[in-house]
Amino acid sequence: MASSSSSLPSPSSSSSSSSSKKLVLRSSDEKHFEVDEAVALQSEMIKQMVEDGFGGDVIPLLNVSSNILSKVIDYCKKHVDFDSKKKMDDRRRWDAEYIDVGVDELYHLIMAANYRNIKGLLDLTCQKVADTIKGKKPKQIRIIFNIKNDVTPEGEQKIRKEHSWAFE
Amino acid sequence: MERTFLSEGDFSSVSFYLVAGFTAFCCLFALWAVRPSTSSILRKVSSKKSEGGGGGGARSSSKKKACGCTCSCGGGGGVPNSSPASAPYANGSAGEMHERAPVVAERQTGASMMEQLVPEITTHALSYLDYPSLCRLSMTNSLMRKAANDDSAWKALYHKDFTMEQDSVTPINGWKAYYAATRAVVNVNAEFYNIIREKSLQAMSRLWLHADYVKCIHGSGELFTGLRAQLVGCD
Repeated sequence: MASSSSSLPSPSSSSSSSSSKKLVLRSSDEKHFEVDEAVALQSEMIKQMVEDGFGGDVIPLLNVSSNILSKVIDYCKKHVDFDSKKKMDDRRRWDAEYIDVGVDELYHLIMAANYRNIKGLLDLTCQKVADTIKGKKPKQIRIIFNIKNDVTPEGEQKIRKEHSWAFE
Repeated sequence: MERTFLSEGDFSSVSFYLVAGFTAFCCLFALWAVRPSTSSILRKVSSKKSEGGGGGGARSSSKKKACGCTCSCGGGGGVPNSSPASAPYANGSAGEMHERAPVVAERQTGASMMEQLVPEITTHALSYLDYPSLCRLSMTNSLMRKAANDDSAWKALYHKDFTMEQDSVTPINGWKAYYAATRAVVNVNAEFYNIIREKSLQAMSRLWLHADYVKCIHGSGELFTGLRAQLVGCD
């Protein structure tokens, strides 16, 4: 799902309508995102920073570009909503649609989820990697993930034989 | 384009207004192109004007300069994304970034995503795989084979698919081999009981090892030895 401009978190300078506490996050390309504290605290890393007293300043996220950050914030926002409603089916459906992305975006989401320590998103992205691999032939897996085959045909034959037990 | 003008250094008032006008046009274009970040562009416009006034000192703040340059390229060409994909990241311009910039450019080209993940994430992802998928992944290349043969992954899979009771066991040939052996036993067992359920003598004679040392303990407590006895027992 591509995040439409309406769901993009608004830049810090233009919004302060809500009364709840806000935190400002800065992406690697210097874009600012103002989000509710509850949303930002989905990230264990930010939670730690806030506990250590860094919450008042802009929180720099050096490894996350703005388009990935906005997608990550989408996830956190939605899951704050879900946590208050507890509708598992809705959550599952939304997650499935959310994670329907290409391999490159998936990679960046994994890195962001890992760096910011958002367990739910890390689980979701890792599950997606596994689902992408499942049921595919080695040749297909190589193509999808751009894995270079460095095994000789004889070596491949040998490995195939070693794994015959798994495909009976 | 703008940079060419500026680098000539000596400004007549005409060319100054020309440049200022052009810059304003470009910034308006940029404003139109990236509506969400209106405020940041406005700041850019004002900073640009003050630089223009400085004339000779135009190169002093090189970072903002580079940003403006990108804007005018986009405006003049009328094709916002005509610059190489990596350019928006290189100059860090908020206006030009937008969502369309592809993330591909950031990653080293040629290397696989799977090879760039840190080991603990790979392990995490592979923990969601079943055994045929892990085996197929291990057949893709040598690095993936190393990842997919990870002992702890197979141990976790063993616990998931078979039993938690074997926690204290340390298999000599690793958990993958142990998993394979257990899988074979489980499969044979399943087949054996299927055949018994179907009461197929032919299938049983195919499955049963034709040797005298093979024994079968019947539910009644009787002990059968050899195929013939087993077949009788099945009856």
